[in-house]
Amino acid sequence: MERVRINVNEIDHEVEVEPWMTLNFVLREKLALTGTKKGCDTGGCGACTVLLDGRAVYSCMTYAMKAEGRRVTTIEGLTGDGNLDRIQTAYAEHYALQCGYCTPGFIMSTKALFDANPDPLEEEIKEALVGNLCRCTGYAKILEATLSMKQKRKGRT
Amino acid sequence: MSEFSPKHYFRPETASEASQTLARYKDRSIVIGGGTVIYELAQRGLLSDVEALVDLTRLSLDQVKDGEKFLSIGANVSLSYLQESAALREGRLACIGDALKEIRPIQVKNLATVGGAVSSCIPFFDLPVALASVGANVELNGPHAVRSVPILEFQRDFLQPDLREGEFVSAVLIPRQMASRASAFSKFALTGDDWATVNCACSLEIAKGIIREARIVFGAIASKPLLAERCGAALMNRRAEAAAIPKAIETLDGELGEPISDHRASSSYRKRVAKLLLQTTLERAFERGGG
Ligand SMILES: Cc1cc2nc3c(=O)[nH]c(=O)nc-3n(C[C@H](O)[C@H](O)[C@H](O)COP(=O)(O)OP(=O)(O)OC[C@H]3O[C@@H](n4cnc5c(N)ncnc54)[C@H](O)[C@@H]3O)c2cc1C
Ligand code: FES
Ligand code: FES
Repeated sequence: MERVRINVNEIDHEVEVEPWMTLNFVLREKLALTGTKKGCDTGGCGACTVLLDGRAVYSCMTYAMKAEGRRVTTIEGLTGDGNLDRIQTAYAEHYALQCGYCTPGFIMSTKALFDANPDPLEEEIKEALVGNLCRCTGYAKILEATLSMKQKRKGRT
Repeated sequence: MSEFSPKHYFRPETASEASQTLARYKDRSIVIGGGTVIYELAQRGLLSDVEALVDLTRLSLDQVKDGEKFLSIGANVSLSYLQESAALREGRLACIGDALKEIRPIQVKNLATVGGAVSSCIPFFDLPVALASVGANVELNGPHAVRSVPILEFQRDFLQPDLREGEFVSAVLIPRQMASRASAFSKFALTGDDWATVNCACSLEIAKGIIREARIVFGAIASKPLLAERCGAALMNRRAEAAAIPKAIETLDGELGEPISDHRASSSYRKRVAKLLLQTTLERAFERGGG
């Protein structure tokens, strides 16, 4: 067991971590941040996606030790001021979810994309979301919601 | 017990400390890059004897350096960092850029390291095949010396890197002259983010439209990337254009032997795909090389 410092959603945490513990385990079981889901647990469904220093990673296969001294952003970090952020708003407006289990993962992948590239092409959006599976929506609404963010930006500029 | 339960997690500050730690724990220690393969092997109960994980993050192996003789890619460089690196811009080492594009999803590419991609020795991976086509070497840091081994020798067999006691991969080195070659990589997979059913990379030395040397490598055919030497020889001194391709394809019947047969594809299917991929890969390289 080692005490490890991890910054989650702008707050520094010190957590006791074993080398085999994953970031998903630490977030959900030690920090009670259950917005991050666990689906397949083998890398593929994307429900566990969080940002590590701003980049999308699967928390189910990220060892928690790898997050030492780094910045983690989870879905809970998007609503710091109590309001939905613009990706969440777009999902709600476009009904881009049904059961919602995949949604936090999709939103985190989308955040990583838009933070790095505010005006992505449709192909770039699809590429960024390849690692997220949804078994309900059929993806059309998700893509619509994501494209709408891009169009809104365009409308303003 | 088949649980993965390492007790120690080391973050050595120097290369010699890393080697000493690995030497101390011998087979009971492994280096952790991004941990993505380690996670999968652990899930399958294959790493139950591991007591120590050695994380090389503090060794500054996270740079891509353009040296006089080699392009040196640090072992801890992530696959997405490499994909964005200036060393691959303007069509340089295009086969590596092609391979990185084909590795999905981004969530894995952000974690996975170059050291992990080559040390895993899993024959369905994309990057090692592209690296082998440009004659890459693997730089190994040991307790007493640093040595450099061609990637096709380093990958001895399935899950078997040539790592001696206390050794770790510090970098992958690509000879500078390879940067000017026309090269390409292609992959056939059953879905957008699956491992390769077959993949293929080539690098060609072309002078005045004539192929002077060709390195053709296939992945997912044998237990490690396969250098198709007869295929390369069939291209020598031919004009870099479509007419040169059929002779190269003919060599594959013999040279590919009996490809792997598994749940993804039968042996004979893989051979057919390999021929089609060779065609695509060469055409793409010819286009790039101005052939
Ligand atoms: C969902 C998913 C999809 C994938 N899709 C693709 C794909 O499309 N194409 C593709 O090519 N690959 C694909 N991969 C595989 C991916 O390329 C590997 O998981 C990755 O390259 C491994 O890198 P790592 O740093 O995470 O390795 P790790 O898991 O950290 O290490 C792997 C092995 O290498 C050893 N090792 C690591 N670094 C060193 C070092 N510096 N010195 C000595 N030994 C070392 C470890 O001890 C371990 O045995 C996929 C993986 C997943 C999980
Ligand atoms: S739970 Fe991590 S990818 Fe499915
Ligand atoms: S909304 Fe149910 S899995 Fe996507």
